[in-house]
Amino acid sequence: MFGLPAIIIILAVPVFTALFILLLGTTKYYSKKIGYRLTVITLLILVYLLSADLSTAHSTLLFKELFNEMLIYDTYSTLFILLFILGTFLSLSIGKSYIYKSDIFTPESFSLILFSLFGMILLAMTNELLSAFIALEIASLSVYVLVGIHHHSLRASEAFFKYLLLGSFAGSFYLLGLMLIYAQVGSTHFNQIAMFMYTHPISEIYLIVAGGLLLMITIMFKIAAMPFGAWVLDVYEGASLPITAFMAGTFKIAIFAIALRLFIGIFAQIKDFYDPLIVASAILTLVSGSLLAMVQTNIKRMLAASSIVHSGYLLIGLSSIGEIGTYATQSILFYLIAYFISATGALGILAYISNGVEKEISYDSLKGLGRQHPFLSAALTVFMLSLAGFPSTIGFLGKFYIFTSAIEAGYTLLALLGILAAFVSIYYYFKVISMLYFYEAEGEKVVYGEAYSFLFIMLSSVAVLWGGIGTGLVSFMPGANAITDITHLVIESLYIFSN
Amino acid sequence: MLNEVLFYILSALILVSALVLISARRPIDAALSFIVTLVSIAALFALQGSSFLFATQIIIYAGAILALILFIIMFLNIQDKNLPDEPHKKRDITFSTLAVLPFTVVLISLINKSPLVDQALPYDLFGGIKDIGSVIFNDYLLVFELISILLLVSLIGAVSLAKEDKDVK
Amino acid sequence: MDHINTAHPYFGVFVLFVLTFGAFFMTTVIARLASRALAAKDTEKIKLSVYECGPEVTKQPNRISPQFYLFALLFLLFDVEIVFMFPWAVDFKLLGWFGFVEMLTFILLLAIGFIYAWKKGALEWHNIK
Repeated sequence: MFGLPAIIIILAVPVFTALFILLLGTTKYYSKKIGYRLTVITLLILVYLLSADLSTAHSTLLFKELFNEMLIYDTYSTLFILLFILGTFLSLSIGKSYIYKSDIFTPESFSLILFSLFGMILLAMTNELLSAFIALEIASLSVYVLVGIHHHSLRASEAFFKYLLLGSFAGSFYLLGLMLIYAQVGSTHFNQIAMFMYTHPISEIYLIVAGGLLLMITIMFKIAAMPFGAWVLDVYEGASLPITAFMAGTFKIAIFAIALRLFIGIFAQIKDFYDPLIVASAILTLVSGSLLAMVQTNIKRMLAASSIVHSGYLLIGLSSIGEIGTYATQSILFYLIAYFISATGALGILAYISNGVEKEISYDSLKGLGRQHPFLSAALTVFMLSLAGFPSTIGFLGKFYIFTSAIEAGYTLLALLGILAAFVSIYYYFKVISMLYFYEAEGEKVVYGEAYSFLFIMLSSVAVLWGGIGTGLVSFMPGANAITDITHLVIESLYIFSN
Repeated sequence: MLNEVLFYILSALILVSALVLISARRPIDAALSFIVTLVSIAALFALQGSSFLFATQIIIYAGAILALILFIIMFLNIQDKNLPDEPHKKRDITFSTLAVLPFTVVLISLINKSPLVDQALPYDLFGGIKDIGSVIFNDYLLVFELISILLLVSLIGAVSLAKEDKDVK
Repeated sequence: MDHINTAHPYFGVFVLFVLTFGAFFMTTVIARLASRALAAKDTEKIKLSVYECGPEVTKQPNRISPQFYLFALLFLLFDVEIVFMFPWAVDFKLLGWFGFVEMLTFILLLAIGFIYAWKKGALEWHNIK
């Protein structure tokens, strides 16, 4: 389906559906079923249009004249857009029972999810700093409102205000950095900034270094890396569960879409300035994230804290991107895929269990679920194993690639710290599994309806296992190898000179 | 000569009013001195001949945003006794200023070293409303259209979050 | 400071503006300080209390409706929209039909937002659905 019309549809369809749902929502013809189905059908159309483009390495500038070379459509953006769409689709599908039973999903929620998706799609395609900022703001602003849309809950309102104020404050750093880079280069395009740095001596690009530092502050805030990541616990806890799954699984990898492009595209030459900072941030993130995750009693907060730790692993990957090879980039892409499906699934199951009521799910409330709901518990176990990085799951391979690439780049101690954090993470992830199987049930068996949500929980847990299988184990259906091939194509497409 | 005097007067005005903004105890004092900061910054734009930025600064910041802030302050109707106790405010401001100072000094020295300092920006070449228009509507067309979506999203957010008002009398 | 431009046609207007503003602000500050310095410092409780012939004085309910806040926000959003129209209007001949279509798209998207706000009753007093 590769071609210009498909890409126009990909850009236009989310916006048009969002506007349609928005306007329909004010009439009497709207019902939650219609809004939900429209959103899901839109996502399925987008997946259908895009999936064929993953098989080749390609790169085109979209509307070169009209958009002034700002948008680039390559395999890199195809992969990320597919991940965003799948992430949104999974959060909505697994959360279907929650969405139908809870009264906080208004027509605005669906259109904001689509607007957020639109912002993320642009973020994956953009090749320029200013449009990247606006795309980032479209995506974040929608997510802020989605967090706060449950405005009868004090906790949600608090989360909304924290997220909005801190997020906007962090965004202002981006603008300052953008200004400094523009002041030096006179352009905001990635390739022109890179060209400027090639042609000028190091003494003339210090302003770009300072500007890039400010851009990194914003990025680190958004991925919840540690000096700037303290907001995560309250915000993830305050948001309703499908939205938390959306934020943790989809929105986080959207930030990495732009961060990776920035690092490979512009900062490759001046990475030596940033490396100590990224390493320091990675250490801080891993240590404090692990400590935070250990002391939580609420599973939602534990998953929020552990998502900080996952940012730490990804920062290890970012610091080991170097001139030597593309192995580190590939490992980050693999890890993002692994993390996205495991986190969406784990939070999705919580949404499924909570049955549309926003309540605290503590460890104790999972007791005995293994007897009552064997399949659901098996799926939750698979997600937890994958998040902890247990062998034979996709999460293990992700961590394995990240750590080996760090060792290859010379950060052996950092890799060891990462492995240590992974061992610590076994403590809080296995606590969930032990609650499932080693305790007697306290309450009556609750029937969770909605076979549709259950189906997608099962499908994603099968995907987690399938992605962890390489040619070494099962030679005829290698999931991990397929992902590695795709990441290879993605990186190849980044180096295509497109016109 | 007149220009330099004006520049220094305006800079002093910006610094003093910004300091009042963060150190004032009552929100309304802070908001009023914020107006002075914003207008003085607008004046700096005008000194450079950037008439569009000058107008935008007045229309959006001094006009709309300040009106919003004042409405919020009036709506909350904060009494003196509701204000938080900030016993260490002076100390906090001093230390946080000192913490940011190194970065600021480095930044200023970097900007001073860059070739930009010597480049004059005469108003007939850039900064006028006509030039900005041609840049926005030709080079940054995509960003311009995206801004309308950003505004739309914030509008949806504002309306849907204000819904609770029907419960309040 | 070579690039400061005194020859700009609006320069006089702008200087006048800033000076007027500064003078206004300073006057209010001086008036406040002066009245504070000159006023008799009598802090007897009965003198400070509000006089309301007879009945016990109660705290007035908040008279500023939150609706003002929403209106101010909507005003801000459409204000930002209008700011983009100034350069467009100035460059209208240069941009031609292309610019017209650009602006039309821009306004159309916000018009949808306007319809939404209208339908939701955000523009009416105390009637948000």
